[in-house]
Amino acid sequence: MAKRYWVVSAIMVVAGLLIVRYFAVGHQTPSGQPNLRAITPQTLPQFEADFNGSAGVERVVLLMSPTCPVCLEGSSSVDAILKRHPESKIRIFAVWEPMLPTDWGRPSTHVMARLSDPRVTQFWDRNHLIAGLVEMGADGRRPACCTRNGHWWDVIAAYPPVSKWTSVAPVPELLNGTIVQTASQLGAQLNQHS
Amino acid sequence: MKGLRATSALTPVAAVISALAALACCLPWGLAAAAGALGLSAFFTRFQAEFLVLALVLLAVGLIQILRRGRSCRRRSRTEITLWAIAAVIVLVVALFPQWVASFLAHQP
Repeated sequence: MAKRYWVVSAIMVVAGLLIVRYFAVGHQTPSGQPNLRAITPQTLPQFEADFNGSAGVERVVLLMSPTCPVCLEGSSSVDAILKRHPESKIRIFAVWEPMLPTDWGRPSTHVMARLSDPRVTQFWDRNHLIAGLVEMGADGRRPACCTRNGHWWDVIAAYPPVSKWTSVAPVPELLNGTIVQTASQLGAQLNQHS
Repeated sequence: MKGLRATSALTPVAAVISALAALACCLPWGLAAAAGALGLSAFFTRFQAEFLVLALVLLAVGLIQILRRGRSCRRRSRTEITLWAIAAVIVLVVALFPQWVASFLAHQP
């Protein structure tokens, strides 16, 4: 009985430590990338400045849910494209947003590790601000899928080097979802530009 | 399996199925199944929260069944307890660590 007690106690302690670690330090971006940034009305101008600061390069906004396996697969596809184009002038703005009831937390380290390229900056957009601005700037265009509760998700929006983010996003040259299905079009676009 | 009642076995199994159904909305279905899966996907997306709640309720029902059995002087089945414990772990992992589960279910390209 005493042995069983110690085994159960040890399992509970290990499980507890794992849970604490997961919630306390489990939100690191891959090396070479800035820390995960929260999008709020206050930090929105910073996002805009980042976007416009990369003028002259192709910029891509990804809208994703951290607990949707298809979105994670899409993020890996984009990362694979970046690895195939190490010299391409491109900047990725990976925007994670809570779309599903299981999306109650920021993206974790292993989720963000799927986009490991240093040309990626990752964001946590709790209030879908970026998704709303991307939609407003799309000039009536819509992705073929991917709307839930009025918010876009699992969507790629690619912007040409000359575009500028004003109060809303510029008009994208590529806009579609799901990311895993649209990634090949992004790859073809990079092939054309290189 | 001696002493294992069907209802006691079904409850934890149903809890696991409900918990996994909560994530079924967004599984990377194969292209061949994509057309049919779209309808299923919309269904599972719509009721994701309900599936999670159902899983937790079924777990609670399973626990009550096990506890009541002990109080009525009948021996608790070890299989019953093991099944419930495995179901509890799976449901809690899905509820507490959905990003791990999603990562596990997503293929690498």
